[in-house]
Amino acid sequence: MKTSNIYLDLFVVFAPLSLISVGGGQSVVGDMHLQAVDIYHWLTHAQFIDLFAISRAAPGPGALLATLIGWQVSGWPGALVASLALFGPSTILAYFVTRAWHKSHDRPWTSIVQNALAPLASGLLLTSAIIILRSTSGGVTPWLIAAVSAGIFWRFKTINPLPVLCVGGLVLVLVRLWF
Amino acid sequence: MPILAAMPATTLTLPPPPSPKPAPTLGLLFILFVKIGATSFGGGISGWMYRDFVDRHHFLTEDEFMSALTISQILPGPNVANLALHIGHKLRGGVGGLVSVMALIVPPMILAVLLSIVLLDLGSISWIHDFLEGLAASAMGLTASVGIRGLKRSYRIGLWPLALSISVFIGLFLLKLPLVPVILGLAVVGLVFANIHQRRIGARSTKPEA
Repeated sequence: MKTSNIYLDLFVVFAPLSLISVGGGQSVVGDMHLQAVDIYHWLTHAQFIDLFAISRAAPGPGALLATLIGWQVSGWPGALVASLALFGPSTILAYFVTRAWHKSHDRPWTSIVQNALAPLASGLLLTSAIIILRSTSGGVTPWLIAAVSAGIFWRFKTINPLPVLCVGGLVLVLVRLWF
Repeated sequence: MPILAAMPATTLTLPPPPSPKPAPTLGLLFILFVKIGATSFGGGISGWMYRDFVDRHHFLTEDEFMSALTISQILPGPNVANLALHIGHKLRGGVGGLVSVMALIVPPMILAVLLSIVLLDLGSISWIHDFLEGLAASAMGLTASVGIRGLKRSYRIGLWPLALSISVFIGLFLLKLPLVPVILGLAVVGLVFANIHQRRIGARSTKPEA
């Protein structure tokens, strides 16, 4: 599906993800990795991990990863195209659904749709986590960091993630320094 | 309002939170969402929205916020963008929705790119990459914990949700099938099962009355 136009490529990759990302932007990180690294060769594994980490530590929605991939591929215009492709289609859909929602108050379908889509979101999130962890540069440490972090976030539901994420980063720096 | 009643009399001079509070101006909507977007390091955006729009300014009731959260999570796409659109639309119509989404996502986009420029410029220092990789691993722990929580929650209504989640993993990870057809196909299966489930609990809940 590669075309000769880089902006068209970015759009073709991210626009379908916009409409398929049930459970939010994080659920399609695995597919972003597949497309950006394995299929289009825009980034190396290491570059992808760097941008992903920055998108999680920076303020704003984690889906900004698309913005950063676009930027890495072709600068600010690439960032703009990737962002529009990822946020545009879902926002347009949300606009029309929201309009219908505010007009009608009869909503028995919402719990049906929620029950149907929630399992897909869970499956996507876990698949993404495994795909990204597998692309880290080897060793068991990233997996251990992920497992301990998952335990912390499981136990303390409302904790601010940023300090935990930074400790995760520091642990890997220290481990690689000493071993 | 048992909480209000328990408060000292002095705090009662404040007006009680009225339900039809005048909607914020477009400018205030813009400022609130810029602030939420640009300061939410590490995520947790919907929590900040709740604090500002329900607790602090009373623009929305808790029920209104929760139903907005539900619909924004059902819809595809970044949940927080959907939530901002829904809240902005409710308070200030279509223009309000658009202003809210832009205010929420554009400043963080610019910040994230600037942060990348700085950090990747330092990328020759090897520990920067190690740090980012550890951070990414930890973030994947967060993602996984949300996924596991979802598994646990949907397991309560039966075994079929679990089977659906496992099918997603098998299809995408083991069989390496393309994402779009896998999700669309399984969504149809999920809707069928969820429909049957809804009818069952509907039948169960009407029984005592009959």
